[in-house]
Amino acid sequence: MSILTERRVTSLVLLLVGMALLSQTFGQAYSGLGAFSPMFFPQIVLSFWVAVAALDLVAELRQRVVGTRPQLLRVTVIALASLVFLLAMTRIGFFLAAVPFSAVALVTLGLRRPVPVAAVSLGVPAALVALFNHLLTLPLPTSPVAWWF
Amino acid sequence: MNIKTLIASLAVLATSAAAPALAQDFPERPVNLVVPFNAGGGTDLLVRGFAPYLAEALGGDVFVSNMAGGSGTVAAGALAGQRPTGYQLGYWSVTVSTIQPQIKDVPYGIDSWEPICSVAASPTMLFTNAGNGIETIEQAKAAIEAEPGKYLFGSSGPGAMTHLTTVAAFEGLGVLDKIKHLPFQGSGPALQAMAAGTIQFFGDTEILMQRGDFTPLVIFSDARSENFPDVPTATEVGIAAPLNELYLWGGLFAPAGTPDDVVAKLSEACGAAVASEGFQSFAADTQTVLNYRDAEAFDAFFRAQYEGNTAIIEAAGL
Amino acid sequence: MIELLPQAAGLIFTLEGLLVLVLGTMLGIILGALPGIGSTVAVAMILPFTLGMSQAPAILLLLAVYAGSVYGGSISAILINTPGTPQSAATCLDGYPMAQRGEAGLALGWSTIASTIGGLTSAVVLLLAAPQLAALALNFGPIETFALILLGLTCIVSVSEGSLIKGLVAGSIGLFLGCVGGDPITGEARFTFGQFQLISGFNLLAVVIGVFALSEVLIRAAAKEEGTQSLVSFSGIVLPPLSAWRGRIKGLMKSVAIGNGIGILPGTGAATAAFISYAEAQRSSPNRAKFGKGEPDGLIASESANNAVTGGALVPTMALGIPGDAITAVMLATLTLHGVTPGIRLMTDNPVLIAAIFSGFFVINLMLLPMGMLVAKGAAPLLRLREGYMLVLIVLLCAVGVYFVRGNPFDLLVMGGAGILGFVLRRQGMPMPPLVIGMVLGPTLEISLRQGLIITDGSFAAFFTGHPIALVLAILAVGMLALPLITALRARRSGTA
Repeated sequence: MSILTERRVTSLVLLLVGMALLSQTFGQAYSGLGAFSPMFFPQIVLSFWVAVAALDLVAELRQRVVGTRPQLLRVTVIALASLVFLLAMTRIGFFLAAVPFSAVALVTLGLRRPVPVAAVSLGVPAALVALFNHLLTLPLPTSPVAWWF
Repeated sequence: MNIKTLIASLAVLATSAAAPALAQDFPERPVNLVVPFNAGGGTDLLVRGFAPYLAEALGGDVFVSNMAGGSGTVAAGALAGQRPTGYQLGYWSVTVSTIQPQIKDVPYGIDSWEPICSVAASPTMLFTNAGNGIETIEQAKAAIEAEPGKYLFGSSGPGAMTHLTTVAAFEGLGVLDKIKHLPFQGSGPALQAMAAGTIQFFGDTEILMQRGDFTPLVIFSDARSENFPDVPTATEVGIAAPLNELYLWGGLFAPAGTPDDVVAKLSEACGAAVASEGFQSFAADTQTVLNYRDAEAFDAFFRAQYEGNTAIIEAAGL
Repeated sequence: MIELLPQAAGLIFTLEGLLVLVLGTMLGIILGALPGIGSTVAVAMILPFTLGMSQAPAILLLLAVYAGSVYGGSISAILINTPGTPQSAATCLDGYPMAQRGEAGLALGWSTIASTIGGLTSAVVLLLAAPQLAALALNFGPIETFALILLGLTCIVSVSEGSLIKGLVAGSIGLFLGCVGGDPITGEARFTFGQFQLISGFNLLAVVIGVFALSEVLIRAAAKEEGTQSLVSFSGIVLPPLSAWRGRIKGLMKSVAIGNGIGILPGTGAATAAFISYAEAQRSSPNRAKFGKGEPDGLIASESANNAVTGGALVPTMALGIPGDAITAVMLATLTLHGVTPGIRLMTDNPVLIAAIFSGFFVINLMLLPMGMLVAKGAAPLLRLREGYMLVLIVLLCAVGVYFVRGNPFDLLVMGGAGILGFVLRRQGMPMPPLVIGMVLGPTLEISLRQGLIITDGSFAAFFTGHPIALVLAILAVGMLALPLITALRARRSGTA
């Protein structure tokens, strides 16, 4: 077994991110000194971050904890599908983005019966659009194709 | 409906949306008014009150949507990149349209817009706490000069109108370096600090007088206020142009490139809506000072304001 | 105020008034229970409907939706470990473990009763002493606020189940996330890396929904089993028997007091109250050892406190015309629409209206219990859905909710990113409530600290010399931090002796 466990890598990355952000706060031209400097408070916070993240890394190195293995493929598909959906939603409209997302996510999560999957992935977005855009006139993003969905 | 007719009807819808809007057919679908702040704020309520009258004047549907963030610049930045169809309009205030683009790196500027009409405008005033011994602007100046660094003025945030009003007053009087600025997150906390006496000066429109016990010191207008005839104008107390007039105004803007006939139609409808009895009484209830300018006049006013506010932004050190 | 009640009742007990109270409470509970749709969004959704109503019903509708949604947030927190709003983040800590061991109905029973009691007492406080309390709140300047927020931050220690260090890391990430965007004093952009969208910072709700709800979806997707089971077994609210309350009343009273007290102070809010109350209960409850593993005392502490805030928040709103949070700001704006100017003279100029609002608020809180049971009953079949359907539904609703917070497309990406971040952090056993605490309290901590330093000309020592309230709060904060250390040391010493 390698010494790189998922937990150790995450701890290390957190420490490095904190250090990178902290180094960002120095050497930039900002107006004001002390309480008037925009970096006054972030420097306190980030120094604290680096300190506790270092302690955390030490703790992780001293004890070896191996977590459960995730279903990598499944979680990656769901995460990517969610991101694409969230990105697409304001560009091609809620309905057109939600339908393929729902279908992909349901199938990935192990629901394979075609009728309920199709019904949910079409029906739920349609119901939400009908409710918000037309009943409440509180519009969700609409598609560039037509204003009513 | 079979697939072919569905595709055909979608295609018709698509072309009808993409075709340039003709003024005589405008509006063919609901017009969207974008409020650059959260639902429930003062601007939001004004636009929601205005929408039904605009819809009536246009002979179509009008709906309001909110997009908040970055002191209104997020919505303005988003609208500036939209196709100029006239179906999406923004209600921008003086800060969103003339001040923020000069102090922040935002994806829009003076030439991003086709101004449609102005709806409301109120001059701002400088206030102090009632009962603190300061009754006039001269006394305020003397007190600040006597004890530099002792007095604090508040604002609802850096770059807000509440900030710029006070900057204009004290820069105009030459005492800005003897008084400290304490920004708050919104007007609410600032007014609380005013009531508690933490801060001594605050700038806002006349409506503030009804929200607490304050003494108005000076008004940034070309004439004295009807309700407070004893309060001198900034020019009278020696505040020189361009710091002497400040208005909190707002109006409808369309993205640049909107067809002229659509702008004309919207501007006319906007005028009718502002003049309508219903909206007039709404404005009276909410104590909004209406000020309609048509597209041409508003365009000139907007450009003049954009240039004029540069001086005050510099004074504020933004 | 009391003597005006008969007149006020005339405004409430009309057909319109009662309809508004019943439907508004119900709608508020439903909206609050939907993951992703918090109180602010719920109130904003209802706002357009109030435009056509008369004064009292319009405000009562908003109040009913507000109180209902704060309570409703606990339903999703308990059943699917997804706080609808930041203020019910502390409810997840003990609510969800209870649901996992099959006691979802009972957990909701505890939270419902606690919410009702919290809300009712705050309504009474409001009726009796709003003007006096408002005057008291004025003594709370930036320096006092700073000390209070410092005390709030110490809660990170008590909500860091498992590992204190990991809790502190999560807390500092939250504090940092709160720093991104325009500087509150100078307006300069910080950590935006040239992204114009970041100038307004990360939206709190988008991050909260991401790290709780979306990461929960990812964690379940990553789990071994196929998502064909239902999430929890639940068939309706089960009220705890009276005898089970023994030993919990004192904690409840304390939480109610904390909620009321913090609600009165502008700019702090329900999430702070819930966390402080939870931390205090964890320090003093006789059942403190079981906290975080499904202990009703923890549920009671957070739910009674966050509902007590609803009344407290109305104190400065109504008595001074100064809104305590985004929701009360909406209410004040609605009053303006109906020709009532909010301000220092609001109560003196409109005594009957205010009495009607306050007593209507009491009625609303009475209705939380029956309406909550009704909504829970209706929601039960939904929870029997197979897990896969439920997860997709959660993602869709979260997207809708976050979009409606401010209609900002960037917030959706923030939610997605926060979901993945939350997934990675939670996989290594990092608790998420500290991250939320950091992000909720960070901005207020920063601005109050820097305002204080401007007032005192840069002297941090002057924070405590002239400000007794701040001093007491700071000592409490130090005590909260030192206490676990002292008990740990003592335990070690007695162990070795």
